[in-house]
Amino acid sequence: MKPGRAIAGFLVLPFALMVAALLVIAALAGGLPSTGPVGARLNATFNGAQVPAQYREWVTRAGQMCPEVTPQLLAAQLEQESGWNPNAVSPVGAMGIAQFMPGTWPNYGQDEDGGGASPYHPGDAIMAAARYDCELAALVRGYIETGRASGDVQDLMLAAYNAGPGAVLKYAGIPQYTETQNYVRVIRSLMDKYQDVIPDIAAGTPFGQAVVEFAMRHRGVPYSWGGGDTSGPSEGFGNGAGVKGFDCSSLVQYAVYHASGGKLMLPRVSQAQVTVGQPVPRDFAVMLPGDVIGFDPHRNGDYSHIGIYIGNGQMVHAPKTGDVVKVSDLSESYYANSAWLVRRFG
Amino acid sequence: MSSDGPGMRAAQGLRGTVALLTFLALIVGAALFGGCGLIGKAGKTSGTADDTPAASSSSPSRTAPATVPPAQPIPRGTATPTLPLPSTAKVAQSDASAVSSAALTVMFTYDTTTDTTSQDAVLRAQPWLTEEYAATQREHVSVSPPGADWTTWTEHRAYTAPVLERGRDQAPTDTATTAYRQWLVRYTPTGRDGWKGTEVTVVVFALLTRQSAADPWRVSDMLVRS
Repeated sequence: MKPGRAIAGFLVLPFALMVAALLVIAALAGGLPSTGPVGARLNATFNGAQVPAQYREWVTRAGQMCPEVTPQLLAAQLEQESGWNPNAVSPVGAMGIAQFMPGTWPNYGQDEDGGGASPYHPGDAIMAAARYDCELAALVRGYIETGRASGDVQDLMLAAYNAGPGAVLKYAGIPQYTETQNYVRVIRSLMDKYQDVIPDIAAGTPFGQAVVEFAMRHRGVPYSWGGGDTSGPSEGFGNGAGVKGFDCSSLVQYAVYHASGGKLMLPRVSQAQVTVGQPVPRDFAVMLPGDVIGFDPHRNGDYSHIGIYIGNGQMVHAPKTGDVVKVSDLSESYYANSAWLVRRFG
Repeated sequence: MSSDGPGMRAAQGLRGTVALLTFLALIVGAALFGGCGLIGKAGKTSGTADDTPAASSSSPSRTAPATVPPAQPIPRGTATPTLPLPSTAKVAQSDASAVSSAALTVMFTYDTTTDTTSQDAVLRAQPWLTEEYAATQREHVSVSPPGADWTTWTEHRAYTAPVLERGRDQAPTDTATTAYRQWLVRYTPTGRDGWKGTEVTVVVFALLTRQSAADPWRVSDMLVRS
């Protein structure tokens, strides 16, 4: 090495370390995006404030072990598993904050805190949980890359966590096990508590306009019964199987979720969506873009359809099987003759 | 990985601004993704557990492993609960709504005095499922414990008695041998000591099939949503 370069390196080192330290502090505080390109279904940052303070650094650190296992995913698992109780013992013998079974712990447990490896030491357990998750994530990512499974890496990792990777391979995706599907759903829901979704929209966009814009972006996407979730169009169910899209209520759920920065998760069906939020009269002079309109076509109390008002007597909605997300006039007889319930969420 | 190794390589191989930027990128990369020594404090050589991260830990390889060590399975429940459940003898088998409602009632009726996980309830619903779907459910052996809520329920010897409400979102049209149903399933864990937990609501999409119009409806697939 030339002496000049060595000196330059020597001078740069303290500055570089300082910058690095500041970035690490920012990451610990949840100020930097923590979802890697592989595991990101949403553009979200880790909200460390929701993690009990004594475990925040561990979760932050463990959540950087691999891109798929983000701090918010890990936090959601820990809440589900033990409710953040480091001394938890379950009726089936699972131990500690990450609820390792005695037969599983030795494969992943290491001493992280200098006190000897123990599933009852939060640092050991949290790091071991991430290590286990990351191994599963690498395994299922391999399945996807070699065409042996399809889906989101995080979803498949969670499915493997509940049912074992063999089941993911057998079903080439999330297995049709009710319990496994439920586990993936629960962790996905809990993640919202530990992340801030960054709305992919111009700063300062009013809430109602944002609801409209998030729905309008999906014009042309197929209707798919049971399809759609907070991450966007997804494969539906029944005759929607194999069709990636939205149904009427999932489109509304998606648009409101994103407009609220992931803070507002509406119920999954129209009849429940029209019971929450602020009531608005059925009057175009009062209604605003972004208001949600539930329809009861038979006027018997069954709210079986829902759309998003966009102004000028029109709505954007996912109408029915065989159709696509589109704009319709509310003067069309089917809608005009229905009973309405209009709700506002922001 | 150590923090000075990448830095020294950068200083040797590059010049000026490029060298500085590369150096910073490597340092930051090591800090954020390498898990190597820049977070937390040095590990103690003795003493008790600490809640603060220590110096370093090995990360798993980014090369996809061929397999991982098998996790310990969660044992299944060994007893049958005494809670009242719908019976195939008393529910109209030609009514897809009644059959799907009964199936979900059984699937979401948990008794933590006999069940070890919700999988026990799923298995009790087998008479309401097609043979193929039932066989799929029987395969499942959970390797993740049921979680904190279940542990709390067990402490209170809790059970659930789900209440179902028909989902009204426009469903595909039934045929003679295929039916589509949507249900809101609500249940509140109730302890035998008087304790009550938080109500849980899920939305379930159910597909029912039968060989002919003379055959009983059976659930052949399900999708659970929040």
